[in-house]
Amino acid sequence: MGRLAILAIIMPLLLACSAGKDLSSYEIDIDNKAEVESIFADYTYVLLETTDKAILTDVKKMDVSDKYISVQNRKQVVVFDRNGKFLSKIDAFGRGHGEYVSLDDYAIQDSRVYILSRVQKMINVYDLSGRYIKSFKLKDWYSHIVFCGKDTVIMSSENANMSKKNFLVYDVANGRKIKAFDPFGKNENLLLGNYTPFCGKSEKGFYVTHPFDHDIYEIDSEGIKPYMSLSFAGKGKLPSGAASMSYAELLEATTHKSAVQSLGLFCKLGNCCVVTFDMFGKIGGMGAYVCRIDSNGQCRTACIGDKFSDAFPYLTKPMAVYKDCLVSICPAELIVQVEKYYKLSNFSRLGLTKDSNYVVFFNRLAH
Amino acid sequence: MKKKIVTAITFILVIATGVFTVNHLSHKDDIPEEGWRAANIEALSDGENIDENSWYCRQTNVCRINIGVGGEVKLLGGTILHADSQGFVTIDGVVICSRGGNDMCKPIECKDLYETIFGK
Repeated sequence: MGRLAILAIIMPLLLACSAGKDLSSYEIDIDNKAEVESIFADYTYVLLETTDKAILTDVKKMDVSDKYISVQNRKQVVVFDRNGKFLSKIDAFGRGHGEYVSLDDYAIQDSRVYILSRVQKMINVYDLSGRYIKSFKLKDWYSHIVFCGKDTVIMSSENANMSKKNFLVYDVANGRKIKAFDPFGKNENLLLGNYTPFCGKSEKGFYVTHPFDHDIYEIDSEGIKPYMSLSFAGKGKLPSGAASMSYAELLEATTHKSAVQSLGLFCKLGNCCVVTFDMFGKIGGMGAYVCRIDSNGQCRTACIGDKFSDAFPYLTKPMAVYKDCLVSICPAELIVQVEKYYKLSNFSRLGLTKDSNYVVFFNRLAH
Repeated sequence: MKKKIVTAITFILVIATGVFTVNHLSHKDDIPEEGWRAANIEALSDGENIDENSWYCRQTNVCRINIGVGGEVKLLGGTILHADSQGFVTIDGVVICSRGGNDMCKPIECKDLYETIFGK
C-alpha cells in the first residue's frame, strides 16, 4: 500500500514534468563554419520567360508549388508555370474598384490569386487572367497569408493589430472568421519588411517564427505550438533583456550588429533540418546564412556570398522552400556580372543577357 | 480483497486527477473561444473607428546595393563594408511609412544611408 501511494503521488509529477519536454533545443555556433558545398548537393534552374509583360525588377517574395512559380515584383504578382513560361500578372495597384493600395502578401489556390492588402484590411481575389473576382473585408490588420486547406487561409499580424492576436484562420469560401489565436500584449506598430513568419511547410501545416525570437513553432488551423528552440552561441544572440524590449528597441539595438533579428526559412530533411537567417557582417552587410542541424545536434553554418563558390556561383539568399530545395532567384544582370568577373559562360552561352528575365535556382540540400 | 479494491480505486482517482491537472496546465492558453470573442468585440470596435488613413505604421526594409566585386561602402557612423563575392552589399535601415510620415515615422531612402568609397 505504501509503495502504491508513493507511486500515485510521483506519477502526476512525472507527467507534469514531461508535458512541455517534447521541444528540441539546439545551439548554433556561427563560427563552426561550413562551405556551401557541404550544405547543398547540386542545383537546377528555370529561366523565366522574357516578355514585356513579365520583366521582373525588384522581387520582394517568391513561392513555388507543383504548378507555379510566382513572384511578388514591387506591387505586382507575376505567375509562371514550372518551365518558366509566363502565365499571368496581377497589376491592380490603385484606389479603384478591385484595386489594392498595398500588396503585403499573396497566395495562390485553385488558379486564383489572393492578394492581402494590410492598409485596406482586405483580401482581393483575381483569376489567372488578371480579372478581379471579389474582395473580403477584414476587421483587422494582417500582413501575411497562406492556405492551410482548400478554402481556409491563415493570416498573421506580427504583433501589429488591434485585436492583439497574431493569427487569424479565415474561410475564403464564405468570408468568415473561423478562429484567432496567439495573443500578444502590445501593438508594436512596426513591420519588418524583409520578414515573413511562414518559414516552411510541415506535415500538418506550416512552420512559423516570430520576429526577434529564435524558436520555431508549428501552426495549423487549430492553433500554434512550439516545435524547436534555437539559440546562438556568441554571434547571433539578441541583446540581454530582449524579452522585455519593444520591437522598435530591438530593431535599434540589432541594426548593423552581429545579431540574428529573425529566422528565415526552415526545412526538415529526414532526421536533420536546415534553417536560414540573416546576420550583419563586414563582408556584404546583411549576410544570408544557411545552417544544417544534424540528428546528433551538430550545427554547421555556411554564409552565402562571403566567398566565391565554383559549384554554386549564382547562389543568392534563398527565398522559398520547395521539397528538399532552397529556392533562390537571381537577376540576369547579376548572372552576367558574375560570369564576366569569374570568367564563366554557363548562361551567356544560352543567350542570357543583362536584359533577360530573372533565373530561378532550385538548390537541392545534401541529405 | 475489499482493501485491495479500495486501494486500486484510490490509485486510479489520484492518477486521473494528475492527468487532468497536467492537461489543464499544458493548455492554459486555450481560453475558450467565447472568452476571446468577448474580448475581441471591444478591441475590434476600437479598430473600426480608426480610418485606414489615420493609422500609420513603420515598415523597415533592406537596401541591396550593387557596387561590384571588390567594392566598398561607408555607412553613416563610419562602418566600412566590403562587397560580397557577387559585388553586393545589403544593409538594414530604410523605413517606409504607411502614409507620408510624421514626427514618429519618417521615411528614409537607401541612398541616404551610405556612401560608396570604391565601386561602380
